[in-house]
Amino acid sequence: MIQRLGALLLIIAPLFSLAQGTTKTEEAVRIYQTGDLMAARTQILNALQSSEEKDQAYTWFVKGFIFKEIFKQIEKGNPFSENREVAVEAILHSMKLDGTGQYRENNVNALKYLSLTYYNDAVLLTKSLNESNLEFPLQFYQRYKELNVHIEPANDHKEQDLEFYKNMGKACRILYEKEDGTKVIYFDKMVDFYNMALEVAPEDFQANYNLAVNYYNKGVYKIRKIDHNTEIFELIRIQDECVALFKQALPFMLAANEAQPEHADTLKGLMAIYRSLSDRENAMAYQEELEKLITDGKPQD
Amino acid sequence: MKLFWLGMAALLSVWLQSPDQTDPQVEDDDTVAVFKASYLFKFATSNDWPADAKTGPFKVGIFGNSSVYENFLNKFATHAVGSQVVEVEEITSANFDEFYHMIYVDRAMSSEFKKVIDSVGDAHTLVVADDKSFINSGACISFVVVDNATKYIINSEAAQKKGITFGSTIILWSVSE
Repeated sequence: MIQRLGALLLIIAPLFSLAQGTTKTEEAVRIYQTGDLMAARTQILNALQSSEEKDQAYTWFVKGFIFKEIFKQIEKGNPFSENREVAVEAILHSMKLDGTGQYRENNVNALKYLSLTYYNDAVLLTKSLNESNLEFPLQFYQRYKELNVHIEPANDHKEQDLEFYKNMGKACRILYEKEDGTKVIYFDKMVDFYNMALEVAPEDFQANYNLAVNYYNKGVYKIRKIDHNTEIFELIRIQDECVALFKQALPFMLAANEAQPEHADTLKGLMAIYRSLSDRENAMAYQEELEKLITDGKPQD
Repeated sequence: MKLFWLGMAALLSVWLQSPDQTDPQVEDDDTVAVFKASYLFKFATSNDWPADAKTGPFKVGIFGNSSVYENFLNKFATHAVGSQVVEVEEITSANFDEFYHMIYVDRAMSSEFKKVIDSVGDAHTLVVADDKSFINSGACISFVVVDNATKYIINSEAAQKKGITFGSTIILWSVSE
């Protein structure tokens, strides 16, 4: 109720300042006040057909506000709502027409709400990710950032980017594991997201470590499928594929180790990778380092 | 709007702390041991032993590498070599009297290799080494590392002396020294 009252005030305040009699836009606001959003929608679209009102920042703001409320109240924040995007475009157009900045605060508030719903949807979708919605979290996140430029122009989103890409990488990895490694698309997406994270922060421990582990474990899962029916030529092919994966894992595990030199998991990882590459010398060196870490009583897990 | 921001913070917190989104762990499998055990099974099934070695169980002895032994036991011990059931043992001493169709001597036991050869004597035993320097000292096959992968070299003459004939696929996929 308080939110609704606030929203009404946002609209009514500029109305008083106009004080130009009843325009079609004002009529749309009046209809909105009765609670009939769909009729208000028809009226504001009608107002935009009017040559006197179609270039008014206020008219576009009202359009954006009504469509935002449709998205919120009728569509209950449906992530695939078209009305949300209509609202965004209207608000942006209003900001463009608003040379004096008269409606800036109202426009920014509405845009802030809408941009955060995109962020919200991106986050929520990572929790229910599947093959059919795999592309959407990134699309929603990018839209959030595009809109946020109008709200916080100085925000470079580096920290948010890093967290978002890493969480998407993890979500894809979990799906890949749930499907027993049969859906390569999840693995490829996981690699893409961790690489995006590393573009933002090349030295990030978690992105390097997770990417390394995922490459390495992919090789291990292939090896686990070897059985008595595996022919010798298949053994050789599997081994070549796995060696390639272990080699891909190595630079990322080394980078993770450089970021956190006394982390038991990276030492275990380096030991496993070198052992799998038949590099006994390096495997032994990291094993000794790990044992020393444990003896000294400071393993980090 | 404050409520909205609080909701966003809670959402982000749930997202970051979700228990099913923990970091992955490196799988602890000894991958090289899996390949060695797999090759050993192929050596057993793809080579030909003399007729007098084709009765009773097909006995495999593994010396010096528990991981190869465990992998062989878990993956292949329930399968047959021809009509022979497979029996795999972890050998703990280079001095033994038992007959084995195939013995694997790990690099860790290289210092005991000659004793193993002495224990084998003239029996129809395929000796597989993990050190290529033994390929001319009694080993019929030795594992080698080529471009970080486990491959193998063969000594047909040594195998013939034991009455064992290499199968064509074993010869085909062997590498040169």
